[in-house]
Amino acid sequence: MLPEIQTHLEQLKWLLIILIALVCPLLALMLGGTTVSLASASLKHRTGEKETPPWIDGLLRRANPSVEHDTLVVLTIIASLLLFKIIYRPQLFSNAAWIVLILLLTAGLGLMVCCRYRLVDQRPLDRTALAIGGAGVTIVAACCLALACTESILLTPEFWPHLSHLPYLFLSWHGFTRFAEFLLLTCAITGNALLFSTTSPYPTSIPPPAADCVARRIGAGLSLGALLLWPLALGLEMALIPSLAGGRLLTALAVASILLAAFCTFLLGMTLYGKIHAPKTFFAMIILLFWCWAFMGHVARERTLTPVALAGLAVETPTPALATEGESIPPEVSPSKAAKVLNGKELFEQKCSVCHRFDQRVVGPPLNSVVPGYRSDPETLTAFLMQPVKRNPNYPAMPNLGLTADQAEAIADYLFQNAEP
Amino acid sequence: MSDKAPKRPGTRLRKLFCLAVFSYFALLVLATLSASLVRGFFAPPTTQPIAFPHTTHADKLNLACDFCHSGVKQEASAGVPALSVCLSCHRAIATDRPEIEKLLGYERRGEPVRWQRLHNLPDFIHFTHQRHIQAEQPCAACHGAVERMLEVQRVRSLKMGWCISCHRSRGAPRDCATCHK
Amino acid sequence: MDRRKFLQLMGLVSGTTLLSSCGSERNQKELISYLVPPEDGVRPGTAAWRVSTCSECPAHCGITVRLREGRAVKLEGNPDHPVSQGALCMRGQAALWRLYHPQRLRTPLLRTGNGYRPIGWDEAMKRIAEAMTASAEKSRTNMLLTGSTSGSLAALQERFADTCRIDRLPEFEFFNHAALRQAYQLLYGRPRLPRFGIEDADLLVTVGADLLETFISPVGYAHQLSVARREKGLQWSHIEPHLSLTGANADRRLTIRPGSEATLLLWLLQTLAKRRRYARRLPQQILDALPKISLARAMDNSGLPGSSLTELARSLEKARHPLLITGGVATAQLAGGQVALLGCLLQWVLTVPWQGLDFDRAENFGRAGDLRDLQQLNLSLQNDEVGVLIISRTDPVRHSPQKWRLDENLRRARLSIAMTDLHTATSRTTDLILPLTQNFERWDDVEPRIGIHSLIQPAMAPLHNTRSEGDILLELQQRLTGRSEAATYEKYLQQRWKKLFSASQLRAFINKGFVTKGSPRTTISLRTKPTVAALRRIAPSEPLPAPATVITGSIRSFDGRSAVLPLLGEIPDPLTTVTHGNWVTLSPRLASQYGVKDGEELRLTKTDFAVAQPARLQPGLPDGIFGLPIDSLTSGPPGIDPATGEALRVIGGIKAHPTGKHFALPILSGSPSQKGRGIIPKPIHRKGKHHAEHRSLYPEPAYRQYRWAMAIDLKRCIGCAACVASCYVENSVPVVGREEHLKGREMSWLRIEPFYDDQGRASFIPMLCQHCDYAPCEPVCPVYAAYHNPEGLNVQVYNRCVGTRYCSNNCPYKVRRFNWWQHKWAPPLEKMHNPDLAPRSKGMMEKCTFCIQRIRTAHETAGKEDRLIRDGEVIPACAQSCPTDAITFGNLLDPQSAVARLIKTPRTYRVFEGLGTEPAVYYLRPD
Repeated sequence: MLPEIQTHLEQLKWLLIILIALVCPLLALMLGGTTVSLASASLKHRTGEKETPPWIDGLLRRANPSVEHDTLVVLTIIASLLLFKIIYRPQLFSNAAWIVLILLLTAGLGLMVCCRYRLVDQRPLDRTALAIGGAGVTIVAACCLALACTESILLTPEFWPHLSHLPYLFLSWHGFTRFAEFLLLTCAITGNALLFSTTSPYPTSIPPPAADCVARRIGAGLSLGALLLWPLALGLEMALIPSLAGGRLLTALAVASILLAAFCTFLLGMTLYGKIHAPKTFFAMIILLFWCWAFMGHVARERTLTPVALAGLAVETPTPALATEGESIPPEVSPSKAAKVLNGKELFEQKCSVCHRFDQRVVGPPLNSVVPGYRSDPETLTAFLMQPVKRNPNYPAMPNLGLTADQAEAIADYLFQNAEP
Repeated sequence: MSDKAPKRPGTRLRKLFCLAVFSYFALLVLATLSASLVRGFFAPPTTQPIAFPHTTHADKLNLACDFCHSGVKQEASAGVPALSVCLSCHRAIATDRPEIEKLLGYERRGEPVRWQRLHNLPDFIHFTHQRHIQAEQPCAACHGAVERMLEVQRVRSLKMGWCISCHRSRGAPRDCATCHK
Repeated sequence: MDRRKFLQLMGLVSGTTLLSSCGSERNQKELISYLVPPEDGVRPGTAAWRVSTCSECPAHCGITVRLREGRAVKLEGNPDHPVSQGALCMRGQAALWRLYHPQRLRTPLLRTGNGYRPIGWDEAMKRIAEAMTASAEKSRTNMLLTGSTSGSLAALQERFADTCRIDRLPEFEFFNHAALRQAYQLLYGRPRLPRFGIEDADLLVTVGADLLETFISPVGYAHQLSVARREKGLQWSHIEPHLSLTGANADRRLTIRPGSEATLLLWLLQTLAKRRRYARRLPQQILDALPKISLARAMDNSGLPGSSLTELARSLEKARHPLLITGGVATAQLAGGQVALLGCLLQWVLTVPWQGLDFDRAENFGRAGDLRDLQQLNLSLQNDEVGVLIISRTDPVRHSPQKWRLDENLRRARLSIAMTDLHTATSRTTDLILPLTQNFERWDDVEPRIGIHSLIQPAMAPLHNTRSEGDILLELQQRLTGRSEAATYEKYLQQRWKKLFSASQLRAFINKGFVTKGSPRTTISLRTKPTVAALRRIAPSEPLPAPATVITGSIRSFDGRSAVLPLLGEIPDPLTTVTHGNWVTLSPRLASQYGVKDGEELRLTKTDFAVAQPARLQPGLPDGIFGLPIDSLTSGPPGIDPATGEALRVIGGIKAHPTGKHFALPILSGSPSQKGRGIIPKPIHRKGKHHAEHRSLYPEPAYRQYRWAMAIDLKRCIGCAACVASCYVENSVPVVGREEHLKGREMSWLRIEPFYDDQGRASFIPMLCQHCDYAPCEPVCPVYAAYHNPEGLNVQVYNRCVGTRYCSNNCPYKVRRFNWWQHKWAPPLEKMHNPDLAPRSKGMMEKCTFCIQRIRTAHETAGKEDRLIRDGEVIPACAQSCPTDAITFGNLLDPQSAVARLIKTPRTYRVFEGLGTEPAVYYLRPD
């Protein structure tokens, strides 16, 4: 089935990018909301139910997300991971490793979702529930980091053969930067949710009390910080990206996303000063930012993982001698290798067959017509092969192929064996 | 809100803040663009003076790489073939094709072909093909599947980290002086 | 987190460092194909070697030219060549600078008023031919004056002179050894300079002859001396009034009063002739003709104690193969003819019996003239008798006394032509200048000694619109007579070589670079009658009144001809360590008498001779002597000896006074004495040599196959600085100029340090990176640019270096050099760059690498053949050019290697051993 799928690689790639574009904001929303809720819940837990400052309650309510998309998110994530594995280099990561990753991610998401259901029900979280939520968040974040690094190692196919000996190659600076960018986007979208949340317990018509204001401010701060840091992270990514992966399109996307971030900042400022109130535009812009980011990854992969670039990796190279301590010194010089037996046929095919056939004229004359003339005097043929001179005006001169005496002899022998008079 | 007198300094501060944020973003856009410029992301794609199809020669005809790049087994540089090497066959073969006509034109003018270089190392690096061929490295390990490229591309970074990872895994010397001049 | 990770992180944080570390791939955007694959031997990225001959001085040492991508990048000695035996002096090394000199003349120039107008070759030739025809009609004589010429060019000149009716004047060389040639003519009827069999001598006495600097064939002599010292236990006494590099290297230096050489030689001759061993050597008439002289007179005259004199005489009597050579400043003075005659007569007594003089391999000074011939030419010019005057490869204006006004008189010729590659004082006065091709751009041959034919072959196409002298003469011949010897000089050479050599000889000539043609050994006999007549004219003269000036030839510029090469200005004078500029040396005591210090100008005057130069205090120089290097002589020699025609180079009765001006002299040595540091250990330093057990936090270096090391035998080192020049060229070390030297920013990777003891005896030590096992420079580098490689080299990774200079501060040997600037190489000098080496830019530290590029090449050859590098396969540039084989390089882990055996000798020590740096450079004490 796999080969069949791979004939539609182009469509599959588009499907993947759509899935990623879909899943990333949702995942970020889930991750960010849960983290903020967990944090405020743990604060509440620590201070005790009675003495909780009102703004923590506000925060908890505002961050308290809806859970209706959670199943969709989990399913899409798993689908895109499978697609990823199918499209990009099935040999690169073993099936086992990929399954472990999927299982881990599912488990992490499961824990998170459990926690979220509790939060939606507005039940107080005890210590165990907090721990479960925290573990979920951590696992999901770790899986995201692993995925970012995977995406990054895809951009340097030349390192794949060495991954088994040098696993640390997997952790690239570029991968970390991509992960950091994901976190920034998460902050931005969470901040947006906090700022414009409609799940406020207070009607929107009356001015929110001070507690709600604090929550809004925290949201605005999160967004603003993330948006301001965004261009820095992006610049770093552009500097770190493997040169093969870079290109005009990538640069254009990077610049576009910086401009988007600038526009978002502008919107945020306007909102804060009370000039406008455009939660939908703001949200849409951040989603656009997400898409830009996901598309950049796609562009980079596409520039790198061309069939010709990958083809060299399929070449069988001799199994590397495993590095030992102090391996920088070459091993003891072995006695000179036995001279390779010269194979006339091989040499002929490599050097001569381009221009010569035995029975027909190609560039040079048919060999059956010329070789027999040398039978009485093989040395002349050998000499001719080593230093050709123009013989027949009807043909172009044969180039000097730089054959050694042994090679020329081997070829001459082969010619005599195979030429028919 | 109602009091206008104390709002003034606030307005100025706000303007200043807006300006700072604006210039911050502008600066970073510029920085990203210049970083790309430095990395050569904006460089025009290299076009070779003659569209030489490696697919025809290396794949269809199955010519060995060192048929044309003759220095590869003996010397540091593999060498781009001399015009006369091309012409040893193409004086007779396919002389009517436009690209071959270009080639013949170079010969008539006595002008060397100026190929665009794709695999170039910094000038403080000493690299020798001969040693790598002797260590039985296939050409494709560094050059990719050239026989499948209609126009050759550079498919490996040729950066030090990449060299080192291979040297390390094969037990090749990792002394700096091996490569650094 | 280790240091490396920390730096990686820092780099990441700043981001910009990552961008800057992308490496330079610029300027290599194109791959240019060959039209036709190059012939065998010229392959991109691979060096080819061509044998040739050096023409920086008349000695003509054999060289091999290293070619990379069709251009010459390095010269080395031709190991088999009979003249130089594989060495090459600093002037020879610098010949490449002549080839690529930015100011090389590129096209014929015609004088117009005060300037020049470039003209075509055709026009130039037409003008010369017309002028020659015209002046012949006006009964003016056409003349050809050249520098030392031999081989085919000399033959062509003769044919040219014959057919075109042009007077071929005697060749002009400033160091023409005329007095010696005249003496040999008088004694044996052979006006030639013999080859001295120094390598077979066990006692050498040189009187004034500066064997190691400018005397006839310095590189060859240095090699012969080294061989004789090693194999024959040669003892060498040098007698001179001043201090030369030659004197500093002699086993005994006898300082005599200037002008007393004749008295001393006379006394020696008289004393030795009485001894039984030599009693029969001289006929009675000659003994009778010798003026009588007492020991007391000789002592008084020469200023030497009687014990020295008698000891000298005794050693000459005892030695089995004594050799005495006079020359240099001893024969270039008013009594020079006498000195030469007596010296040569002493040779007849001492040296001829064991065949220490070889007139069958005589130096090719056969057609050389002297300053009297130049004076004659000057007279003809004054009398308007000269038509066309062609001056080739020589500089008579610079080397004639100023009072002759040769420069002005040259204008009186109908047409004066200078053939040269770089402007000289002469070419600045002539009407027409014809640029000559360099040695590396043409075919030619020379005959440095009779019977030794040495090949000059092109290594590259001419850089400029220049022609060889042979081609010019042939074309002139064609224009004047309507037919020429051959169409081109190359054809002429082919014809001649076919006649001269057999087929096998010709093959050897092209491949090995020289052919030695055997000739039966002839014996020489003393011509009694003219000798007696000449001896009767000898009158023992009084020494010159003090203070005296001695004008010394320069090891850096020969007779001044090489001073135009910037590289030689950069290399310190071995004795004074002054680099750029001129100076006059005087002893510290004399200096305090005049109240001058280093750099304070001193004006020396005598009737019609005046020169003002900054003073340089020279330990070991006798009081009452001013040493004036020939480059510092701004106005030509003070006069000539009318008897011999040699320039006067010793003048007594000099008046000196400080002018009060001060010049900053770039003096590279920190101090003239070792200050008890034991860099070259004296017996006192050898006591109590114990150093603490080595403790280190760093892992012990472990070498598996190679531990490169160098042994430098200080007994053999003569301080000639050939290694320094070789290092400069091999490693493309930038030439930075005077201003930088004054700031202490010289770039030489290898330097020669002269150290003087209390008695003024000099010893030399080459100082280079010591490649220490526990190198102090390595742990202080924050970026791992300086590190120890598994073969024991202390490697500097240039593109890693960020220029903190911590390493330099921590190096006890002061051998690391910092690039303060992006050093400019005026085109076409950049063609000389060694492509095997990384270019260093501003802000990088650089230093000796043990010629790591050569080690790498050897690794590759050995790797191809699957074996280890053999002993002697890697020869660093410095060791290659050393005329005395003082430097040995090799692998310490190979117990059979020359270096491993050398370091086991008891003379071995390492500099600053007590510091525990464990250097890889082993020195062998001089005593």
